[in-house]
Amino acid sequence: MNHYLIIQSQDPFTQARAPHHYALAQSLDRAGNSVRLLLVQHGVSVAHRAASSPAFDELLNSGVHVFADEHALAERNLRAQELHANVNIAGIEMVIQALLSGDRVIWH
Amino acid sequence: MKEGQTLTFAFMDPPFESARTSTFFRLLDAALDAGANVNVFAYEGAVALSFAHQSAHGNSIHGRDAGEEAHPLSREWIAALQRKAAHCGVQFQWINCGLCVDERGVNEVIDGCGRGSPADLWKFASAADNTLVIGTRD
Repeated sequence: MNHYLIIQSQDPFTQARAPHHYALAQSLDRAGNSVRLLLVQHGVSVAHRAASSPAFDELLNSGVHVFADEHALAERNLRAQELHANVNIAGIEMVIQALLSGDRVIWH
Repeated sequence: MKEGQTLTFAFMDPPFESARTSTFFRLLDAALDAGANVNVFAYEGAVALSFAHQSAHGNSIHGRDAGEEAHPLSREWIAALQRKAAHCGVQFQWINCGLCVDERGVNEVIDGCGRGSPADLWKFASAADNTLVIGTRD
């Protein structure tokens, strides 16, 4: 089993590619890999529980573990209690630990 | 982490343009915090990150001089990371793609940043424990 970390900097409201990146994460998960997805920059906007994105909802209901960069959340004044239940908050050091552990890290 | 691990980063965004730049620098800082050696291959617009003649400016609209504006300069961020790496006892290598430098005329870079070619990215990646390529997409 391979371990993947996908860094998602794009949001689905302004970037048509984002739903495809969510789908890629789910596809890797279904293929038996361990997959995490870290929302960074404006990619965190979809994590707000009032945000409506069927593609992101599908991701949250899959086996992919979704995280949001605490710095990007703070920049946008998004607080933990305002996020979708399945979104966990993480620091950017999560990326470094994944790289050092030999995970396959992909930037989108 | 294992002792002496090395990470390579490839980056292509110019300074002052995108949130990717600050995220990239946060990643480099976190890598040093983790005790990793860091290699950077800067290409396309990212070769201007280390340009020695970047200068801060004031904001006349808001009535602030350069000091009050505290305009961030990427060359200063790189220098700060170089100092941090030296303090931590790890390596911090920065190579700019020479062709990209020539195209943009940003030959004069701060100390500690070198000139190379895409072959250096291959060498960096081959020798590293892992590599992250941060591509530009708008």
